[in-house]
Amino acid sequence: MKTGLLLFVSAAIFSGTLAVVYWFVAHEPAGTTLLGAMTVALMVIVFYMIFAERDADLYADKENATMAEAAGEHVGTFITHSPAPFWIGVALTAVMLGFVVSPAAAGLGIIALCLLGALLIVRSR
Amino acid sequence: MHAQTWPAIGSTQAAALAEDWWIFTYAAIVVAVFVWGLILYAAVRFRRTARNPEPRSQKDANPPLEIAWTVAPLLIVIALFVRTAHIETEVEAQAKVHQVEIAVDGYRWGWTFAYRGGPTVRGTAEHPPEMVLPLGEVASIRVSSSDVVHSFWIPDMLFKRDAIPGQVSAFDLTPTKEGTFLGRCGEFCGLDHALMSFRVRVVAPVAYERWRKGEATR
Amino acid sequence: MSAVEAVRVTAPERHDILSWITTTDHKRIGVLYMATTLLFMAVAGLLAIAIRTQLARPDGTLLQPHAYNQIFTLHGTAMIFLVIAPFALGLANYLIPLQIGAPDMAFPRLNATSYWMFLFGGLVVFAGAATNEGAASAGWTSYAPLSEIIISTGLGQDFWIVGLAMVSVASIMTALNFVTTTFILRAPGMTMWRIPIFTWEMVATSLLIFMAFPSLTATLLLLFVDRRLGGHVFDPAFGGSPILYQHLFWFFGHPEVYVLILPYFGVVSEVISTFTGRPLFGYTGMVLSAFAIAGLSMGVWAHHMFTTGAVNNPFFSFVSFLIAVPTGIKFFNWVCTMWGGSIRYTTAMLFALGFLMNFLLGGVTGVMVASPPLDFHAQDSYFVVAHFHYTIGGGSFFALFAAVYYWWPKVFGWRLSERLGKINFWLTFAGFNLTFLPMFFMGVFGMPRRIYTYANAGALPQLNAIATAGAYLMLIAAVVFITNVVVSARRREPAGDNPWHGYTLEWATSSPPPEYNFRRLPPIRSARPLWDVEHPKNAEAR
Repeated sequence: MKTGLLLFVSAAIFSGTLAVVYWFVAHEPAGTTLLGAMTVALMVIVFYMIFAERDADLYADKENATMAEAAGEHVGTFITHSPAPFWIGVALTAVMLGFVVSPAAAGLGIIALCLLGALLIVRSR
Repeated sequence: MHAQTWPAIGSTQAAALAEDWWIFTYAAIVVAVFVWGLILYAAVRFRRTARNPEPRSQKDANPPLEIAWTVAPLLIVIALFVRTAHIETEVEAQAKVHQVEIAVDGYRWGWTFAYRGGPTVRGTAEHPPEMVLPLGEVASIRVSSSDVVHSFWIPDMLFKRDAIPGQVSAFDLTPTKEGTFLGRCGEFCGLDHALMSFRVRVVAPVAYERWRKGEATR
Repeated sequence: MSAVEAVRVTAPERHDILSWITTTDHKRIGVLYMATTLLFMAVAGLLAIAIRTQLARPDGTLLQPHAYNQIFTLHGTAMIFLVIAPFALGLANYLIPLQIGAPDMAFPRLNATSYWMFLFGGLVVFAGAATNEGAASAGWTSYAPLSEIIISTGLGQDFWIVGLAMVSVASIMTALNFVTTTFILRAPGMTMWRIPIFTWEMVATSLLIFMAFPSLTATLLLLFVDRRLGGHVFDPAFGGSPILYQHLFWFFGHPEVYVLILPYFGVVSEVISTFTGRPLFGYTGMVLSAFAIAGLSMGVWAHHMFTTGAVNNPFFSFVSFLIAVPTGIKFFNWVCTMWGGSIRYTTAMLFALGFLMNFLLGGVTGVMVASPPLDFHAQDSYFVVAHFHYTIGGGSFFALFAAVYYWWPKVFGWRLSERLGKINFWLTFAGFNLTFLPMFFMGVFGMPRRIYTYANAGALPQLNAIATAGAYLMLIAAVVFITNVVVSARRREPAGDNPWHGYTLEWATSSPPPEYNFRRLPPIRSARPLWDVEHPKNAEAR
């Protein structure tokens, strides 16, 4: 994944440079802070990629890889259906709207999310 | 009175602003016509016909050409930037001494014009206020707001400055033409934003003095 | 041709409503996204018709100011957050795994969660209209202090904040999914420098979302704190700063307009390449220019604040000008892709060509308003309205329809009528230019944006009448499109796997593709694997 890493490294370097240049040109705190925060966020991704994917060795990155030699490569487990996303969507909407119109709705939403979490823990045992 | 006679150059600053408009309008037209020409030529010339049933080439790169069309626009925009930065400096230059200083305060949905050492004019959406300025003298306009963000815009002078609560923003205006100009709020400010207008009346300095004294005794 | 079974299908596909609610299949989520955005587009489009009807004559009386303010606020918010951007996310959801030869997105459940959060967020924004004081009415920018509780007292503004916060977080999750999928799940041999241009543009878009959307979420949160929890972050009476709101908002807001256009650059590149029968010219340049645009767009936010007198205008002006360079690269590459080709004028190609013609005008007027002295007049006038409609409307919206006509047969297995499609295109093209070309002149003549009425003076009544006529022409075009869908759905003309003779991987599978996408994959040796299969000799010589 050299290209992907390079992408985020360049983005981090670019935004860091932009932050410094902006500070010296404009002396404006809000924009400098935003650009600085953006740089830090990109560096988090860069470090994650360096440490988590050190050993990633994908057939996708080999120019002459054939389908046959890649057969059996574990790319992941993909399910086709799950009730959880819709459940989360409804519950989060209740929480968010609840902040505006009724704390009770927010409470219900939080309970719904906790139930889902509990269910997932039980099922993974 | 309305800005249909654009550019109705009503101030020294507007003359510089109009120049900027013309430079960029011409540049935009030249570039657009050139690229539109290329697109339409390619679109017509290389359409599929009995004589052109197959693409003639699968060539997909030409580094010298690609470098050329990166560098050429870069040079154009740098030239444009140099010119525009120069014009901006000219427009935003502020004199050390001003014969007229006006504190403009925007509120929903009217304006207050407070002349330093002079009268204060206040107007609403129904009865827009009038800012009287002496011809040929540098006026310092200091814009602020007492509620939300407004914008002090005189279309005929090709200029606006936002009226932001909690900050004062100053610029110079040197009228070069007598007459009445329409002014309005440029930044959306709620219900009657559309009606939040004012007038700028430029008169001879003698008439201005007369007006100022008349207002003061009122 | 060596090919192997990519992933085995385990169970027969279900098609009941429950299966759509619980689906985590990227294709179905993509379809849900796109269908939702087209519905939101219908609503936002009708709101635009209401705006144009009100402004058809001076002193219009159709709408009260408060209603008008809600309508343009919802129109802008919906078109930006709920139509143009999420349609691209939906399209990418559908296409990225197909284009890179993957069985699904990297995080299927997260993907579905994003969709539901987007849908409910959008509905919450619209639901604001049902509250006592109606929907949000402070414009899509919702500048503080106008959007503060003392001035915008209605619940609609809170619905707007909460709804958009959900949309914002959903977008970040989706971007995360796109990047991970593209980095990790490519098929064997599909190196990064062989992925199709649309996927590349989506990687650039995702990067932009990472950089910009957190600022939106933060802005919304702070505004919420101000409104509901007694904060004074943007309240100058207590030392807060309205300028800070503008910085935070545009730090998101300007990159957002590139989120609205980069995916559609990808669409247009794919469409032009297919219908000219040539590879995309300057593939590397196209990819690099996408990232150049993404990077530079992070340094231009305050060109929306030129008239505040509180920012460093030359800095933002210069960086804004620089964006013209990578955008120019794209234009020249599109022209050179057509050069030497054999262009088939399908509806999709016509829309792509319409994109080039319109977006060019949006681009050059963009350079104009990037000049601060010029912007002192143009800012917040109809000139700016015309400019951004030429980019988002004449650009993204046209490319959106190019995408609809181009990938429709892949998604449904049957074609849309080309005859109705071409009528649809010409009506849209004429209507669009009739609506928005006069707006440049309205702006120059001093008409501010966001006004519900204007005086009968100068050329404004005539210009506005023309613009309104154009809007109704686009309404007719929309009716033609709906007719096309209905008529073609009845006819169900089979499309086949590869109706347009495309060369990217999505055309290698059936239409519609099965669950997990591919029964078998061709070998991947370039950005156009199917071309290599068709021309084995040339591929070996490569």
